[in-house]
Amino acid sequence: MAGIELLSDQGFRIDGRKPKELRRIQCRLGVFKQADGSAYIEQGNTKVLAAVYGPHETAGGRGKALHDKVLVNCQYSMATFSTGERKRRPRGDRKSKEMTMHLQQTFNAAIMTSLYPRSQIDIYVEVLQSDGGNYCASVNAATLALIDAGIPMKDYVCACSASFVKDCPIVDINYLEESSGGPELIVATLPKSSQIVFLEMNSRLHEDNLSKVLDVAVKGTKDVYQVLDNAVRDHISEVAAFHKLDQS
Amino acid sequence: MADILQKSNRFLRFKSSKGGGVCVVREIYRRETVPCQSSLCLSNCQENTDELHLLPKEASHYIMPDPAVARDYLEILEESSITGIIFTQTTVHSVQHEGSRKLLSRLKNIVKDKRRRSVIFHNEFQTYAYCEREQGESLALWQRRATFQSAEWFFNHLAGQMPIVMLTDNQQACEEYGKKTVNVFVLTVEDYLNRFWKDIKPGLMDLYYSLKASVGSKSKGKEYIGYLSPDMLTAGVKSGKLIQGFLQVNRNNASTEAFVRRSRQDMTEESISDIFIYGSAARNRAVHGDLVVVEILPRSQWRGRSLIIKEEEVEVEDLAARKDEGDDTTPALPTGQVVGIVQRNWKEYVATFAQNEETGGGDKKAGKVLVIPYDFRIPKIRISTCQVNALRDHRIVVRIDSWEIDSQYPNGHFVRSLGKRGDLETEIAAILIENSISVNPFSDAQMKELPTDTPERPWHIDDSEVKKRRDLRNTHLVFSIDPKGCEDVDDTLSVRLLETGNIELGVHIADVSYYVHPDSLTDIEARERSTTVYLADRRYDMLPAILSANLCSLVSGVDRYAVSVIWELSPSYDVLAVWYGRTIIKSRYKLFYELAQAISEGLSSEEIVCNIPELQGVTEHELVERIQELRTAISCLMTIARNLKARRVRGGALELESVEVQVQLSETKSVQDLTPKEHMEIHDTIAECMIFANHWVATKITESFPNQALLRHHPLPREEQFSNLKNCAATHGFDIRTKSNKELAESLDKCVDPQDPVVNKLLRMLATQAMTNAEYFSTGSLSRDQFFHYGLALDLYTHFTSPIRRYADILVHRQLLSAVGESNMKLPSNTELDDMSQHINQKHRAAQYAQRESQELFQCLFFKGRGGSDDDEHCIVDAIIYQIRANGLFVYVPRYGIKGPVYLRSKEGQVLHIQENGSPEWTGGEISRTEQTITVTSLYGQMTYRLLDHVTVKLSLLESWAHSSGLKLQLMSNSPHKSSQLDVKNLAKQQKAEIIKEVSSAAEDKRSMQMSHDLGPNFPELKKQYGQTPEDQSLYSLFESFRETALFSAG
Repeated sequence: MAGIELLSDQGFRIDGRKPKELRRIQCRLGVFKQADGSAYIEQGNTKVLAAVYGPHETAGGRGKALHDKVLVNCQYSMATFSTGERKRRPRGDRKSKEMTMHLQQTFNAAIMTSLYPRSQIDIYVEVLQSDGGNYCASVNAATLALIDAGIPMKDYVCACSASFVKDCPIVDINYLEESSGGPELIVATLPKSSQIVFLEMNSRLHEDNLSKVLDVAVKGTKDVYQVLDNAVRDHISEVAAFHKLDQS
Repeated sequence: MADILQKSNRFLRFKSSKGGGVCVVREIYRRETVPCQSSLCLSNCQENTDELHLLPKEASHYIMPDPAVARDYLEILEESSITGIIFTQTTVHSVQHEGSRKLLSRLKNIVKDKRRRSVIFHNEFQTYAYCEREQGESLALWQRRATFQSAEWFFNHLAGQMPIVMLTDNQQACEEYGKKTVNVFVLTVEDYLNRFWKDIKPGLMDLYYSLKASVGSKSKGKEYIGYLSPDMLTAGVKSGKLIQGFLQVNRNNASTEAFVRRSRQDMTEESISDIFIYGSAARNRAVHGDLVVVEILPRSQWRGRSLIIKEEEVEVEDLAARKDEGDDTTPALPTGQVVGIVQRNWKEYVATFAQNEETGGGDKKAGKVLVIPYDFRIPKIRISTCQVNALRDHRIVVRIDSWEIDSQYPNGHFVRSLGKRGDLETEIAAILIENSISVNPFSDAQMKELPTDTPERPWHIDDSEVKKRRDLRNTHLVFSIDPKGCEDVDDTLSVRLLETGNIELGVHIADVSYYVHPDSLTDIEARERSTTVYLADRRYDMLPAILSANLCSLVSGVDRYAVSVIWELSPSYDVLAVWYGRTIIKSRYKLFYELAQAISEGLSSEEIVCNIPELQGVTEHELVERIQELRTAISCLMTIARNLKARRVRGGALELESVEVQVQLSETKSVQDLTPKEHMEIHDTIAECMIFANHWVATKITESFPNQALLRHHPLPREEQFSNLKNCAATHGFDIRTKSNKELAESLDKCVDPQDPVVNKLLRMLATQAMTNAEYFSTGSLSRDQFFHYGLALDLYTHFTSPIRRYADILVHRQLLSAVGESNMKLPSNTELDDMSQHINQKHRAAQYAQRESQELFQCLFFKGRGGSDDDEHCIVDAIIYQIRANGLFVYVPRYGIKGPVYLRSKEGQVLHIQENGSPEWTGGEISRTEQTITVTSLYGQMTYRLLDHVTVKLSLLESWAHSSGLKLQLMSNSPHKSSQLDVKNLAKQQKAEIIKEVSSAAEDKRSMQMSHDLGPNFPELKKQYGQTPEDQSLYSLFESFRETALFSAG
């Protein structure tokens, strides 16, 4: 990939975005009937489906249950057809396990866990198409699904990635930018309070530039928040209108 | 700005690593406002693109080449008078994917060059300028359609203010699109050149035909068969199985011997440094300078390099003639063969038609002709041209296009002619082109940026600047010491005693960065040139004359801006405080070296006055005072410098040797004489002050910008390079230790043969040859332990003191000024600086080569017509042997500083015997050789030559048709030249001065003094006069000579 110019002199990225522009986000809540909450999100060409069950009694015996808070159980998986080359991905592979762990950490920090002691919430995330920023899309989808399920949270959790190319931070990086070997910073925040619930970085980035990249990523999460919030409000008003019709 | 983005997907098919096809979807966002970068734009679409330049307002039209044109005829677009080119993104992509990386970087260079005012337009991100590729549409067709669509959009976007010319090489497209929109012309390249450029640049037409012919004959893809695939190369290099590096052809044996030098990042591993490539089959179509990947052959196939000195222009195709060379080679070296080429570094080459080239009766058809490049290391090039007869004795410029797998020679095309061979101007132009030095006059736009200083509008100091700067005009005695007749004075000095008893030393450097703003045209041009190029008879300035010879030149008696470094030194010369900053100075005296030296030695007042124009017309009383003041300052300066130097020497600084020859030209530009430059202590004094300033500036900028300071380092030499030096020294029983720079310096100091002062000089010169080059680098790109300067024995060093002549100094000035907070310019980042430093290094090397080649050219002119008579005292000279080869010797001629081969065995196999009466004769015989001696056994007897023996040689001109003419050295006698006694005496004079240690230096430096036994007849007198140590050669020029090391090829 050495020959690809990630950022042209005129300030365009390979897909035509400017450094600080997000990809197009489209989302829908309540896509499944049988789940307690569900959502579908597209961030550019990254497409993710999330479903939430619970809170319910802990499955598999009392042993796992926590006495003071709810057990958040996540499962992340990628469809065989989600990448350029078709590849079987068994549930337990290392990458998805790691991602599962990360999601679990993120949502443990955001859900008001103490409200449901000795019970369990399941979050299932499936990546249908992967084009960079899988974690971010998964977090955003899961947030929407949790909201759909009506589970109390401190705030939305919004995630966004960023990188650093030619002395310029770029936000919401796609697969091509991700795989070019540059630094990748992933952050999940609670946008209203600007608290960071999750932060991860790959590859090398000079210390001096860290704050610049982080600022851009946090700004990205706020933009994501706007989109998600609008989607939630639209969904609510739609559902409310439907219920009114139902009642009348 | 609210921009509406449209998202769409684009489907691409790739080949996967396993060989199957992969379908990839990439999204693309389009918008309505994509900067058009035209200064005529009405819709204000250029946001935050200040640093990008704009398309010109005043052009008659804009050019938009389609991808095929950009790929095949890029060279025409490179012509500097064509401006206003719009490359669409489609074109750039096509050049990248269907062309080569090299081609892409050439395209980028056009766009980067502000003077060309050309841009890349992102048509694929513009909603209306883009068109989707249709089902079943061929790639080329779609590319043309997309280019036309962009051209149309551009035309409409600028509201019809500017006609657009789309260039294509497809006749159909011309007809299809040509009439669609008024003022959007679609022309073929030929048509376009005919209409617009035929009268202005007739050369372009020739270039076009030449290119067209080579496009037609190019069979695509064939060139790289026989090389490994890029994937395999990358994998091989990563795993360490294959080695990547630049191919360096041995100048002395170009047809068979080449080396691959590892590139910088691989240098850590010391085990195998250079890979030997033997023969043209193993070289596998690589040309000197290419970045290649080699495979190491099994040990059984390793071989040594030949020790026979090849006579130039001998075709070495008949292998039979060299069957006996088995025992004339060095021990086997790691040998390899080229298996792939990462990057071609083909450039323009100067070439000549073969002397006896036949052209089938002068027919006008373009035929294929072989031309011989000027540079020995480049193979012959096949070009097609119909002008063989007209250009028979011209030097021409050619370019290589390709090298087919089934062809012995590469294909190229003719670019232009330089003029008749043998003319001085042609030869100089050839030297410049061979070293890629461009010497176009400065452009008008650039001159407009600069301040003026004409009698009508004199330049004067700006009052606002006076307030900002420290004013030294009245407080300090500032003066400059330079070579006589120097115009660009960039350094001045001041020194005074403070009331506290401390000494204040100041170095004041011309404030070039005040005039040259980053990214101004002057800056770009200066960066491109990087250095002023000094040839033997002329120079090409880096900055326009208004700056270099006037406003930046710190001449005496006028106010000038300067950047100063001022130290406060304790009486024992320790640095107590340093001040850096911008100042205003008024230099009191402009002295020259000889005069300054004489003043310090007590020149009488009368003579001082008549040599310093600044003192004339001063009253008697004041005169005495002022002379006294100046004399004190100079001697104080010398004392400081001596101390500083002694400290550095204790740290292990080296003193090395190089002879600079000055060409004395008569008015008619014919060469009068070649004289070695003289050396005095004052040279060292100035050099030492400059080194001191450079070092302190380096310290400051490294401290402020640890990741992006521009420094200069001199890496450790490689141990194996010292073998010849050790060999030579061993013949006189000297031992050279090369563990560290200190040991080397000390052991070199001990190598003094009282009978023969040249020995020490020669050994120092060989040591210089063994060194690696000092180079600029950005601190962010190397680890801290590589910063040091080996030769100067300093941990940090940079170039700060000659901003008029070197671009690196300008960069350092900007960094220093930001470091002390006097400017808030945007400094280049580490990566930019790294690129820049590579460029500067390359340009400096090129300038050095050019300088040396021009000196050789003048040497040849000097000996032209003198070689005839045997008794010409200029041609019969003393020489000293410094290397022994299988069929001859390499000797050094101290009189002219020339090195060259002397043959003891002729091509016919005869050996040279010196008869009793001293005349040489070729007879049958044998040659046997050991490490240190070579013995010629003939019918008449035996004759042995040892390393460092003196011999007498005759110099004569060796004319060459295709290459530069050289000098031929013939052995005349195996004893020193008679009149060389005189030379020895002269040298002894310098040598003596070096040996006597001066008192204060000795106090600093406890090493024992080495006194020579042969002090010469006039030693006591000399001692009285000097009383201190003028070192033999100017330190400064010596350290400069580090860089020259690369000039000596391995042979």
